[in-house]
Amino acid sequence: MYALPWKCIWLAASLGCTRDSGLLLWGSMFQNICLKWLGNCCKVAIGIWATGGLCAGMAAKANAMSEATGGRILGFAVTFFEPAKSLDTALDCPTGFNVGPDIEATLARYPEAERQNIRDNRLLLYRALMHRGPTGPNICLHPTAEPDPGFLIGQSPAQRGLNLMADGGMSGALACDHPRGTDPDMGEPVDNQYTRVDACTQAKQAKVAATTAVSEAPQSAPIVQGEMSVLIEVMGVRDSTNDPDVTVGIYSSDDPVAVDKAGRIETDASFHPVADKKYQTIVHGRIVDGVLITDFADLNLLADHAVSKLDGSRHTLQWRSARLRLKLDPDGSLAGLLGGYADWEKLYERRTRGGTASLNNAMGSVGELQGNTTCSGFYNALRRAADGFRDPKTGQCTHISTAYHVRAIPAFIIHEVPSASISAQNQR
Amino acid sequence: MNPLSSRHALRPFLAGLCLCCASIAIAAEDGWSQSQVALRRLTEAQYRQTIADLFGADLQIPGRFEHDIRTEGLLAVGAARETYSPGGLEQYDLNARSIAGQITDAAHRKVLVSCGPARANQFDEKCAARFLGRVGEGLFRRPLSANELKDAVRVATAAFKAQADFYLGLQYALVVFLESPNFLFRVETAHVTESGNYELDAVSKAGRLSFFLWNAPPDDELLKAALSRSLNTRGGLSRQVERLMASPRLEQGVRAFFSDMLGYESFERLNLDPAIYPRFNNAVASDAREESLRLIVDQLITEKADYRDLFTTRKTFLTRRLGSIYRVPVANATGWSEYEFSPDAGRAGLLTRAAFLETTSNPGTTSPTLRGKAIRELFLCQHVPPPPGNVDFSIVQDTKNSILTTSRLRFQAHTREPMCAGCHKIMDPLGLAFEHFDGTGQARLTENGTPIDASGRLDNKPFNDASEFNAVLHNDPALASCLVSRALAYGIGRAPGEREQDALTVLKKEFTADGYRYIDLLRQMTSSDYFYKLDVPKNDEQKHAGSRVSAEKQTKG
Repeated sequence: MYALPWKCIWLAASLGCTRDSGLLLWGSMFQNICLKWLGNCCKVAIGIWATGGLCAGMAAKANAMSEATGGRILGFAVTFFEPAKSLDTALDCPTGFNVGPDIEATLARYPEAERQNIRDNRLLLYRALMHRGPTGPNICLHPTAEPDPGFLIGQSPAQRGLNLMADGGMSGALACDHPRGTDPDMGEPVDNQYTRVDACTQAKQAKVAATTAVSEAPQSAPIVQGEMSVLIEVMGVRDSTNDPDVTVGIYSSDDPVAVDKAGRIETDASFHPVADKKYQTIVHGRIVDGVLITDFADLNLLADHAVSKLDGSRHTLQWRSARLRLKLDPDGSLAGLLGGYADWEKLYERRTRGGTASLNNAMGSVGELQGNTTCSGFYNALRRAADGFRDPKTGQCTHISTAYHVRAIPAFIIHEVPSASISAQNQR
Repeated sequence: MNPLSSRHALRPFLAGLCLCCASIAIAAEDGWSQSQVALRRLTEAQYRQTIADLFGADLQIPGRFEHDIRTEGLLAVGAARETYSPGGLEQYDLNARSIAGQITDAAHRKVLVSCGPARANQFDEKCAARFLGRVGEGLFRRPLSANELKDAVRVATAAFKAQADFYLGLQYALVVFLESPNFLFRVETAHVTESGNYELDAVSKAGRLSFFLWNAPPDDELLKAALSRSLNTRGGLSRQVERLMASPRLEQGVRAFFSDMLGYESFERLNLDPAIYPRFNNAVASDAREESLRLIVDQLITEKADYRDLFTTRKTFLTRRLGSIYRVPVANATGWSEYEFSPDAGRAGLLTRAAFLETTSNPGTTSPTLRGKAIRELFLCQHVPPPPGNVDFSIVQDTKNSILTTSRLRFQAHTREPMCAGCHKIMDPLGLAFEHFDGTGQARLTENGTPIDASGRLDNKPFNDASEFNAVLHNDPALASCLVSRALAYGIGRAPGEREQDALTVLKKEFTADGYRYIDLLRQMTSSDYFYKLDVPKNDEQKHAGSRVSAEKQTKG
């Protein structure tokens, strides 16, 4: 009973070698066959194999994958992550910009004697606007409760984004018609309806700055402040200029970035991905002329949010059919775009309510006034612009194409560690 | 109002204390310290450890401590020549009043004062004597004399009469103890043996042993062994040495010795330019210090490795902050992770780690001179003369010089001045071996775009970089020899004298024969007679016997 039959030892050793040599698929098939044929003996052997008893040194998943595919592992920590903006607001918004709710129309619903008091008292005015009068529902919570006031969206054919309809991406009955833009750098059609919806909305305090300049900023405040840590791992890289077969991991991390005394995020810091597999996306990719392009995959990223943190919830950013297109710069950093489809109703909630249900008026009319927007107009614009994952029953697309600027710097990504010690195996 | 906050109330005690200090200072000037009976000021770490041992680690010690003076390469030797300044005395006073107040406050007295009157406005003389006798013994590291105890109880009684509070009475007596030179100084007394040599008495032996191995005062068991004279027998001494060496507190002692030997007090004033080294901050400095001490403890105590391997090992312990400096992965998000550098990382040994590299750099540049000087002085026990006062450093400080792009080129230009050449020749070649590491310890291959040449020679043995240099250093007989000298000096509180060279030779020979195991060196040293003997010149015997008696009288006064 205690001494393993030689077959089990041999089997475990074989499996170990299979895993080491990278034939994971064969290893997996072998396990299934083995389980059927050899019963408990094999289970013991696989147990030994799986726990690393015969595969000492199988430290991190990344290392295992590296060994599986060969080549190097490149780890990165994202330093900049923000939605793409309009490339040219003059071209996008030839008729002007969106405005906030109609104050006069709202005040007209009150007795004349009360109007001046409401006009003079900011809190009363916000409350009046929130309900569009003395008795109506909260418009940001119920954006369909008033007629669509209309919403100006971008018109320019030049757009920053990725082609989400090529390479087996969005197509056929799942897609909704939409005007496709062209990325001036890539010269190919792109899908980024979210930036189009957002193109003609300028918050009062940022009217001047809200242009392409934001994409040049090296670091995003939520990342510097530790509200969001995202890791990118490129595995099996044999040639960092052209490699048709790499594996890309995109992970959330609970480890905040380290910032030096000059305020810069430090390179070569170490991070753990979060344990929840929901926030670990593994996808195939390729490198073409120094540009990493991934296949399509669903992606979830964790982000704390000033509002959502208040009720203890964590914010999840979700995309379906998402891909990365990132240039591997000579200095070791990555820069490019993430494209993918986001649930437009969740986007609306996050913009208007901080992504949390318990703080239902977190943004409300304050946001409408300060943001020069209306909840109902924005809601309906998102609905009209939605271009992916059509609901066959309603015919309405449930998701909208988006694009985010991404920059990342070299980092060490630490997966499961078998002991307190790690070696220089994945040392840069 | 706490009466101890009144300077007026303290005046008599301070006056007595000043007299006491003055007498000790006179004794030191008179040659007492030079005549090998050490009177050593407690270091900050020893002071804190004593308070923590006796009263618990939660007691706050608010005052600052005066800097210790480095003499003959060690603070431990400098401690035998120190008194304290009026400013330092104020800080001791501040600490004494604060500690005494905490010991007798409502929260602590239940635990720390095991007896007491039914009501605080009553005086329990027996309890006061018991408490003060026990605490006094701990603080003075010896039993109190009958007169000392009587005086302490008298102070407590007088204070009680004035304040009508038993615990305030104890507070006053505690302040006297805490400001006494018998606490603030390690007083070692000696007797003449049958052979006519001076030897420490058993209580002083216990103190020397305990501070050497634990950097802490003797515990009850060691003091008991001293009082029963068991410590004077070979078997009794051996039992205590083994007990102390088996204790986890040995690590504390090893850390204290190497912190002293490696000059780690320099971390307190380490300040690198954030514009040049933005990754450096106080937390990185603190981690760097801890990294090297962890490595020393691991190699010398846990692994019982060859001391010389400390200079070639690729093993280390890292935090994420240090990982960022070394640009290597660190497993644990918080705390420490063991790590082994790859062979091609060039990080072989203690000298390639941030602690050494940071403390031997200028605020904005590396310094081959400081690095070379540190290696010569700290690890090889060689003396490097100080620079003359009128040196022109402009060339070496011109780090943006478009022609002299590397440290090597700048220092070569600097040492063309004849007055500089002599000393730089013995320091710079060693320091230049570490030019692949900048002022924070980050690796670099070039400086101002020019590839760095880290090659050189150590006593005619060539090396190409820091790793090769460390391999040469590893085999240099002076490396091990220096450790033995330093350890002995640290333990006895003075540089070994002429008449102790034979003992030093024996120790070095045994250290070599034992495979350079530091743990064996400690055992060998503390079990040997010469660790407790005094090197007193024969013609001075009479004078020092007199000094001893007078010093005893003074410190008891």
